[in-house]
Parts: sequence; C-alpha cells; structure tokens
Amino acid sequence: MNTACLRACALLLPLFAGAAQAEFRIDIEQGVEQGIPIVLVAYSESEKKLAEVVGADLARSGFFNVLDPGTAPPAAVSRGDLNWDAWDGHLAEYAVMATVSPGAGRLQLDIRLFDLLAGKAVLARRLSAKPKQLRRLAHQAADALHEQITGIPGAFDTRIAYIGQTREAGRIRYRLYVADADGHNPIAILTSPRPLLSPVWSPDGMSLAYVSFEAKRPQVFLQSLRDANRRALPGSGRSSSAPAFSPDGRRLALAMTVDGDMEIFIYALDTGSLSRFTYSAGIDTEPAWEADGQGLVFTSDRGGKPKLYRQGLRDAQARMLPLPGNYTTDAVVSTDGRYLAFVQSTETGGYGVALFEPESEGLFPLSSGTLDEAPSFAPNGFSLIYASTTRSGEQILMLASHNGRIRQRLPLAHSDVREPAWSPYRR
Amino acid sequence: MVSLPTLEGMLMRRFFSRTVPPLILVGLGVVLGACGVPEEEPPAAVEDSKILLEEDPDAVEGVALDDEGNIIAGDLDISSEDGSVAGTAAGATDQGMTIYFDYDSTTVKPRFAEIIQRATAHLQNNPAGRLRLEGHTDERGTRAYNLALGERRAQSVRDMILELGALAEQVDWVSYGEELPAVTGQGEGIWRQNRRVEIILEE
Repeated sequence: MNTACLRACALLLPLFAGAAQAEFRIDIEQGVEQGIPIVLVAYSESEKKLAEVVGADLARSGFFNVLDPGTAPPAAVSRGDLNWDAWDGHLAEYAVMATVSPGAGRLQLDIRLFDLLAGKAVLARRLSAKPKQLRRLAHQAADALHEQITGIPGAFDTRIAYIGQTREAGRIRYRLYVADADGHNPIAILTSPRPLLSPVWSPDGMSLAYVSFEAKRPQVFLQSLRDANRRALPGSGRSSSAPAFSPDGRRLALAMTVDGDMEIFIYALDTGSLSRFTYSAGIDTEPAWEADGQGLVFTSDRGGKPKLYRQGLRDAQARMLPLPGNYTTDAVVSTDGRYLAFVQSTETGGYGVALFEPESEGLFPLSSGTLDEAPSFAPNGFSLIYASTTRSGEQILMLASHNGRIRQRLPLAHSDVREPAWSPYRR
Repeated sequence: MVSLPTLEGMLMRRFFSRTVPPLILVGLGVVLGACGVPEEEPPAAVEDSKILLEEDPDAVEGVALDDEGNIIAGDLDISSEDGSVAGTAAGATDQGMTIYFDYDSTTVKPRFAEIIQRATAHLQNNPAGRLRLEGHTDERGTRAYNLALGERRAQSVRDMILELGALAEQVDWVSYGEELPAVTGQGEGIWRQNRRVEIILEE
C-alpha cells in the first residue's frame, strides 16, 4: 500500500461519524475542512473556468478541502514551473497547475500536481478533447488528481441518468435524461406521455434499461444509447419492472407477476430465456446483483413487512439481512461489493438512505429526509446519488460522499427529478 | 374475504338515478361511452416515434453517441401526435368508483362493499362489459415496491368482484404504483386520497 492509499485510509477512519451532523450541510462548495487542502492555480479565464469545475468535483468527493485560487501566493509560478519558495508555509498540501491550449483541432490540457510537503511534482498529464469540451477535460483532470492523491479513481468523467417530469400546456411529459455526473449537459433520450421509472445502466455504459408505462402497464425496456433502438423485455404483453443488470451485463433481473404474486426473474439477454428466481407468498421486487454476480439482494414482504433479503443464485432459500426497522427496501450494491445502500424508514416517519457493510454488519445512516430514495453508487463506490423531496415538495437529486461529510444538491437546470442512476466508467 | 350478496341490475339503475351530481353523470357518460379512462388516448405506439435532434451541428440522425462516448442526439419522443393529457385522472375520475386503502394495506374496507357490488352488477348485466382496475399508492416508500403494492390492491378488488360472480376475463388490472397521484402534495390528507383502486368501466 503506497502512502497515497494510506492517506486515504486515514481519512476513511472517521467514516460515517459525521453523517448525523452533516444533515443540513448542503451546497458546500469548498469541500470539507478535514479534507486534504489543495489549491488550483489559475490565471487566464479558461484556467479559472477549469479550476472551478475541477475544484467543484474534488470538493464533492468528500476527500478534499479545496482552497480558493485567490489564496495561491503571488508569483506562485515562475517561468512555467512552480515557484517553490513562494509556497513556503502555505496552507495547501497540494497545488495544481493547469494550462489549456488549442491543439490541432482539439483542446489540449496539461495538468501538473505538486506535493508541497514533499517538495516535488507527483503528476504530469496531457489530456485532449474536442473543442467546446472543456468541462469533460476538467472532469478527466479531476479523476487523475483524485486517483493520484487518494489512491482511489475519481468518478467525475461519468454520467447520470434520471427521470424528469414537466407539465407542458396541461400535459404531463416524462423524460429520461442523461447528464454529466455534475448535472451539466442534460439530454433527454426519451419523452413519454406516461410515467417512466427505474433507469439502470448496462455495465458497458452503452444502454439503459428502465420501466415505461407507454402500453398502459409497466414494462421493462432496453434502449441503446448508440442508436436509440429500444425493445420491451422480456417481451410485449406482460408487465415487468425493477430491472437490474448482472455485473457481466449478460443477464437482467426483473420483477414479474405470477399467479397474482410479484416474483423475481432472471432474463438472459443473449438467449432471451427467462428463469424464475424467487418462490414466495409475498411481494418480491427491487433485485440488486451482488458484485460477484453470485447472488441477489431484493425487497420482500414475505415476513409481513418490506425487508431486504439475500439469496445466492443456487440457493433455494433467502436470508433476511440483519437490518433493524420495519421498512428496508431498494438495495444497490457498490461495484467492489463492500457496501450496500438502501432505503429505510426513519423514526420521524420519513425515509432515508443508509449504507450497510455486510462484512462488519455495520450500519451507517447517510440521510434522513421526508422521502429520500433510489440510491445509486458512483462506479468507484465512494459517492452516492439519491432522490430527495424538499419540505416544499420539490423533487431533487442529492449527492453524498461515502463518509457522510458531503451532502449537496445536484444543480440541475430543471426541477421535479428523481430515480437517479450513476453510470459505469466510460470506456 | 368479505362475503357479499349478489345484486341485480336494479342497484345499478338506482345508482344512476340518485345522488349523482350532473357533472359526475357527464363524466361517467364519458367513461362509459368513450370506453376508457378520461385520460384515454391511443396506445403510445413506438412505431410512430421520432427522434428529436438537438440543435447541434454535429448531430447525426439516429446516432446518440459519438466515438468518444458523448451523446450528440437524443430524445426519442413517444408522445402521441394529438397529445392528449397524460397522467392522473384527477378531477375527472368518478369518485364514486374509487376504493381507498390504509397505509401499506391491501385490505378493502367494508364501507366500499357497495361499490364493489355495483361494479359486479354492471358486469353481470353486461356480459360483454369489462372493468379495468388501476391500483395506486401514496408517495411514501420506494417506487418499485409501490408498484407491487398497487398491484396487490387492484388484485384485492378483483378477487372480491370475481367472488361475487363476475367472470375473470371481464376484469383487467394494472398498477401505477405512486406514479399517478390523484392529488399532489404531502401529508396524510393528501396521501389517503392517493392510496386507491380506481374502477374504470369499459364497454
């Protein structure tokens, strides 16, 4: 384990301790005071713009205390290099220099990361993208910086899918959006007059499964992002809901009704075969694959109340997860399998998102709103996005760092949004 | 299961001749005559869908991702051309044919027995008649689970109607979960109006 990783682990020690206090901390722009102090040196307009996006990314991760670029010392840089003397005694532990230049038809970004305590440059990287894609470059730079300093890959150059609802000339329209992970560049990829819900990404990031009511009953659809082709699964005519891709992307778990009872099925995407997974007198739905693809966690009310159960693919019986309360639902597993995020009812009659660590059986509440739901992990497993409802009834998306230190509203151009799903890494 | 007496068509006629305000009668006429829910519209046909291109000079029709994985065109629009109102039937639904439930409950309360008798009588008097039961929940709890809960509510009503003597093929059901609230807002006063099964008479 290198020092960067040790450093990250030290930060993880007070894991979740701050969750309760973080309750009302929203719209945090600078990160957390306990975080690693870092400053982005920016002079030109493009550098300032870049620093703004990179800084916001790093601050959101919960690992960093992003200092205002104005705190960089005068003469921070001399002759294209860091002027080390000027940084003596500076609060920051890391400094970043970034230069944007138009290359041959492409935007070029050179970033350099300096460890001020060690007194040396620790990262130099050149990134390029199409013109007008400065934001994407900034997210890639943030990913590189995050990984270099914490040992954990950043998940900033990723996307989110979510459902939005609008009323247009008296008509309700439901839209499936795909946006950058920071909420910018939202694009509707489906518009429907009837409800849409439960979007999930295929592991290759090239398609989305979701539920559409366009045929006046819930049906799982699979839509390609490459060519907008879409088809109903497992076939037209039957209701289906709650899709979940297996980690290898070859199977889809979903809920269907048999003999008046909702059960979980597994649909093989290549062969089209459908196999029943649960057999219980009671609702079984909201399947979530374990990271190794060997079992599913799902919601069942077979015991009277909706609770989370776990069942291996070869098991005949499901086992209830050791979680307190009368309402634990909508589980999702981080890609490394370390955490399970789910929704639980709270003492105040609301619903909050919590994390469960199966190995230690540790339970860590992350939020407790009136109606927090639909948690989804970033592909690095260290951030979550979930849906929340404000006291005035507005539906918003929230971002939370794994350690509960950061919880902030995802800024979006439109309101009434829900059902977020974080994409895998881009290939 | 509550055991209920079978009723004659008289009950149905009595219902129409009494208590019903003119507006609701008009609404019910629409429901009975137009064969469906007030928000009825042709099934959203995927074949009719079109891709709405963003105003992006690089956009290529039918291509949603470029070689670097950036989405450059999107929005498959499956809204129908005539654009009828989607969403809840709030305000247009026949309140007299709606059954309400307690929180997280699928039990039909005795006071709704008369509605179920009325619906059954309609089917028995019209062998070609059909019912569509739409199950709904309030906004509390997760959406996929609420789909299941709404389905179970619709099934509770269906079971009672069949027990009274209607034919299985006369009764269709669907759950909308929490997606189509009758009333938007928060608090028990709102929620109790949304935990419901709407009985929609079709031809």
